[in-house]
Amino acid sequence: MLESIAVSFSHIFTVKVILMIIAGLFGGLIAGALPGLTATMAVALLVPFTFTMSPTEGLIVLGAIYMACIYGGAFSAILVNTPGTPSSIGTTFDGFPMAKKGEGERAILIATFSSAYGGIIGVIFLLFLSPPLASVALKFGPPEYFWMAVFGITIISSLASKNVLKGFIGGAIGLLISTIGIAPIGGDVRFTGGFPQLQGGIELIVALIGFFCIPEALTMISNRTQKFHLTEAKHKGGILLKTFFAVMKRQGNLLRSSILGTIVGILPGAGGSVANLVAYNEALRVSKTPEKFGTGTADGIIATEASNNAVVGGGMIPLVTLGIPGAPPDAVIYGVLLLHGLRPGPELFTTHSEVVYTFIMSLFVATLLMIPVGVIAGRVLHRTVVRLPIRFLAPIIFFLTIIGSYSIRNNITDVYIMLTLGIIGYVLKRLDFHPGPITLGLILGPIGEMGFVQALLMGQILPNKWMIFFINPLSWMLIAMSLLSLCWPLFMKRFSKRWKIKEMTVDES
Amino acid sequence: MKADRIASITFIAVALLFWPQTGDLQYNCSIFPRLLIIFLFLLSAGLLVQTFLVGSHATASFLPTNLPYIIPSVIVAFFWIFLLDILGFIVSSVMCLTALTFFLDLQKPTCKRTISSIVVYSLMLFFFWLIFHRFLLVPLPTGYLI
Repeated sequence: MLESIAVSFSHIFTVKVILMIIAGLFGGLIAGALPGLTATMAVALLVPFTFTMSPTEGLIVLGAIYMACIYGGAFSAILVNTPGTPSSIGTTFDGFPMAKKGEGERAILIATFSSAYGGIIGVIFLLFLSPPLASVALKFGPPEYFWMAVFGITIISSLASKNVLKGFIGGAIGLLISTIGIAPIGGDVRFTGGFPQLQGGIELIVALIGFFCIPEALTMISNRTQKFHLTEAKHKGGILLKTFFAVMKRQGNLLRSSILGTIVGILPGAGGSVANLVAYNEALRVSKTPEKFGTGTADGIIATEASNNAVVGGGMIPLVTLGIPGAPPDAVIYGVLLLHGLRPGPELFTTHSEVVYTFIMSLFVATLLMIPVGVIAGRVLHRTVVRLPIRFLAPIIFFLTIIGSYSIRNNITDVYIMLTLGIIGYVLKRLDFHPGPITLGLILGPIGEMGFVQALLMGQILPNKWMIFFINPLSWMLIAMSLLSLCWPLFMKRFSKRWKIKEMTVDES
Repeated sequence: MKADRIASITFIAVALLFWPQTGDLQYNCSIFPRLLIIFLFLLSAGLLVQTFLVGSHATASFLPTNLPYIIPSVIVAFFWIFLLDILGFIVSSVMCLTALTFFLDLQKPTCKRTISSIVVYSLMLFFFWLIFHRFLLVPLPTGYLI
């Protein structure tokens, strides 16, 4: 193994390959920062450009694009409150409030360092722990996927701490929207209202753009008397190093979020969109100052960004060991491996070890190079957005939403749906129904339904089919986690009240 | 509080609207949405009760304060989507981007400012079109013009 790693470095550290990685990183950053252009789309679009390259070079470029795309989503999440990719939904919760306070550059730097940290942890897991972790992922059956979705939904109790009921209503709306179209099992057409265009369902990215971007653009329009969207940042000397050390001090959050991201990445079908919210919830749960979450705390950004980049390495684990893609971009990379005559699976490490190790190590190098590339791109983008007057920024956001939602399926109906959902999202936002729980429902709906119905079908061999949800110890573990996640904010409220009373009595005495 | 009550009643109505549509579906296709509808109904009913018992948490009013600017902007956005398939990506986008910028401008629009907006947007869109449509082969809306 060490020999293969040494050989892989000799392949990577050439001027040509380093330049290719940097080009891939820039391309990925731009794609990630544009709402609507997902990592899957960016990787898939650039596959034809790798045909002329060797298998190793092609994989290196695609790996760099994938890594940077997931990170690039944080830029728009921080600067315009719009996640560039579904993996950055959680970054909007604290990144945008921080940017509003004039600390946008700091928020981008926190995202950069956390993403690099998460990316590296994911790659380390991929390198050393692939076989045992992949075997754990195989133990996840439909009931466990259903409970995982339930666990994901319980995160709402933390996300919507102001009014949990409204949060869960938002989640239910998102889940219900995810059932529109053809049923995944059975194939019946549901809730289309007679519109054949809705048979394919509502695309997640389209809904995401609608629920996040349009309300933000409309809010800007309603605040048109302000000249700029964000507060002009005061330039602070040494912000780069200060932020780096501040992020590195939070080792607990970084490690926990990165490990969570890797584990969620291993599970096929989950991906960064789930990982970032799970990590945010755990960071909030563990925090000594949970009330600061949502107001622009560094811990919120660290949790989401470290976890979503750890998904890149995590998702590759079942791909290279079992031939099962962990996330949609991994499926594209799976195709590229097949195109070059490499069959993903256990024998890949023995038959083509040089290619595999070079690819893994290139992800490591790309993650490190992401720091300078991200710092430069982040500063330029931050200054541009901060200085762009609302009369230009709001129309440009409209433009990006229209093009982003069109380019997913080249369908104009998707654009109409996006705008309609955006208007609904704006009204809901004014009523304190935030887009986070709605999009969480949209993400977890298909995973939950598939797991639920498949489990019920499996349960028909049992005397009571519903027992299928309680047979596996893994299910019990997920149920316990769900209950804990659901009740945690209530515990915290009660305990914090008691603590406050105690503090007051101590002060008085 | 009134806004929360209207919202909860609307969600109850949504649940009641969705429920009959699950009637003709097979068991495997209807079981999950039915559970969700029940879930939505119960939560909305809970919110309705909450508005009577403990008051509302809503901080904002139902309608935004700057409606005379929001409604025309939304209309322009819908018109933009409609024009995409007719005039094409660049022409419709330049027209609608300029219209929105003109509309949101706090200063009195001058001929010079309008022309400079058109030029900047045309260049930006042409560059965008070149990279995405010509170089990356991403399909963009096409119409009778470009």
